Amino acid sequence: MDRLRVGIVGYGRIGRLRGELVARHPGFTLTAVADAAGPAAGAVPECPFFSDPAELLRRDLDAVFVCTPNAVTPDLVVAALDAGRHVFAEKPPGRTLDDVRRIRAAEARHPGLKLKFGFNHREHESVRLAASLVRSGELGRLMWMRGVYGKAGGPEFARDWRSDPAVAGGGILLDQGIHMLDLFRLFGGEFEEVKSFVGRTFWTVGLEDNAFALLRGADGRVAMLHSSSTHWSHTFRLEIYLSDGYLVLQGLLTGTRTYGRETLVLGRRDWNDPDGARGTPREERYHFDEDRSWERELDDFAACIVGDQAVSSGSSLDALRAMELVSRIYGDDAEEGAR
Amino acid sequence: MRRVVTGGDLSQREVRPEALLDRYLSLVEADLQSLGVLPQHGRERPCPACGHPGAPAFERLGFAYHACRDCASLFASPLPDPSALERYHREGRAERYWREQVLTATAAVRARYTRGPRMHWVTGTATARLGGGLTVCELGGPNPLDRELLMGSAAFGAYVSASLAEETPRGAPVADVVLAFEALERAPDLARALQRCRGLVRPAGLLFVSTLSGSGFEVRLLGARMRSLVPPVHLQLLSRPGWVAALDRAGFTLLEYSTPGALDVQAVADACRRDPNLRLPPIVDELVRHEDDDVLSAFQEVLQQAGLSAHVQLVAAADPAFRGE
Repeated sequence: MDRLRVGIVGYGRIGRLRGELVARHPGFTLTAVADAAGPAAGAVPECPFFSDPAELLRRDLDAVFVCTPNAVTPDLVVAALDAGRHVFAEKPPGRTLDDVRRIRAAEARHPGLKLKFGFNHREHESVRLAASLVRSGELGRLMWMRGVYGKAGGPEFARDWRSDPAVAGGGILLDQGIHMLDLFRLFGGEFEEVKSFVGRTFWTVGLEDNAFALLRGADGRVAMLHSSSTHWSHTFRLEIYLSDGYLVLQGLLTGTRTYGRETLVLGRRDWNDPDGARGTPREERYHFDEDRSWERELDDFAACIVGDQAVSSGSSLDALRAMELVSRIYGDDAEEGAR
Repeated sequence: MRRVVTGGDLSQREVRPEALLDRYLSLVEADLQSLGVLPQHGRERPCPACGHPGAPAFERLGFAYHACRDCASLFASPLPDPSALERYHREGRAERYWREQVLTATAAVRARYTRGPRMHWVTGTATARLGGGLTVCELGGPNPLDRELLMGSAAFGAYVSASLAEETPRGAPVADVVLAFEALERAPDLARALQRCRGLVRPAGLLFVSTLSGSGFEVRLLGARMRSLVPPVHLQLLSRPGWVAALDRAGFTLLEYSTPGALDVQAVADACRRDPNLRLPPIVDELVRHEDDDVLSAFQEVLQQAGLSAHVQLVAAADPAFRGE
């Protein structure tokens, strides 16, 4: 099997990371790169470089990775699909629900092409093990979840494109909270009701820096989200409580290693056990030293293309559902909705 | 790679009751004499994990333990005659006493702290990596998992029991998952035992092992004074590098190396109380006898996190490309 020829549009920090992984992957070969800003110093790839993505799309490629800011992602995804390329795009899939709908319409025009979004948190070791435990049913019925995903901001925060309303289209909820919403869906399915408070509490960039949301599913499952860019200490914590036990995902192995050691705590409700009965059940804590989430995404994308399989994780439907939740969280807070 | 750390309040006295352990150890010594198990001028062996030579480390109950100069695994050398070892396990009063008295008296605590968590560890890991409806093969050990419990889990659809001593017919892997709990340390030929495991498990299948660690806090501080170290049972205690080397030679890749043992600090403190001549570095002595239980728990947890507790559990995947050495 020949390697799939890949072009990358957007060669910033994430694009370069994707490029390194593509170059190392046995199923891909990095064939072209495009970035309107030109190559960053010391980051010139060993393949043709274009400042116009349209030129890249005219090359003989099998797949395109779209690693661009939110404002341009939808147009590029649609253009790549219409050019007959399989597409892998970073999250979020755009700035609005209409962006995702437009993307899905393009996808529907090209049923033979694969489209996958980079919801890589699904592929972290702690998440995979937790998902397997929830699926197995041995911890009972999922009752509620509580997720905190917090960013420290930092001195460069206000200058980042993510803090530009015109480019980003949303604040911390759209940028990072969407990962937690995606995980809520992965573990708990769909949610029908949404209540929220969305605030601009510290940063004066014109975007929300805190979002608090309560989601409820048809069977009463509740998920509580706090997405923040005023957390001052990078934080990832997802608690999943089931009728017979609980899982706590704490920390996340990332490129910067600033979200703490990735850990999964597993406890069981066992009231026959003396410790369990007094509220201090025995726990098992899994520590993970390796993050292969990005590699797994590429493996899955390659497998979908080569095997002509439907994208089942990070699909455009996953992106749509996550964006619907984002949109409803913004919309439920009348103050934020009015902005 | 991942590691597991456990919480809880397992006590040395609950799982190793002093009087029962005393009786067991006296029976071990008697069996070693009466059944002629003590090694007599046998041939020194290299490290069973990596093949490098060892240097004398300590002697326990008439067995010389060596430390590998390369991977730091501990191993008994020379070994007793294989037939004497077999006689010890088959006819010895000590092993019978362990099965019938010690395990029975501690069944509840072992179910809560050992077999229950082990069951969850196996089913959770196997399901996450391989899915459900798997065939599990359990190699004979002193404290097997409950077959009915295993079969009650969605992870497993069939159960096979096997012995390390049997030969595996060529080309006939029987299981998706092989369990070797407290089994491999007893094998006089570790490489052969691991080959047996490799022959039983299908490519990409999983091997689960539990055993004593050669790098554990307890054995490193206590050596010959480690009461849970019983030579005819513990012929080798591998270090982490030792496991990597041994598994690699047998066609396995290490996926998880955890030391969830909860008793090192208590065991070392008890040894100090029993033996006034035992001198630890003062700061270690202060830590293991600290009056604050939270400090003791924290110290034990540090050992677990560092992979330095006495008890190892590991998961390895059978390399599909392995064709044998």
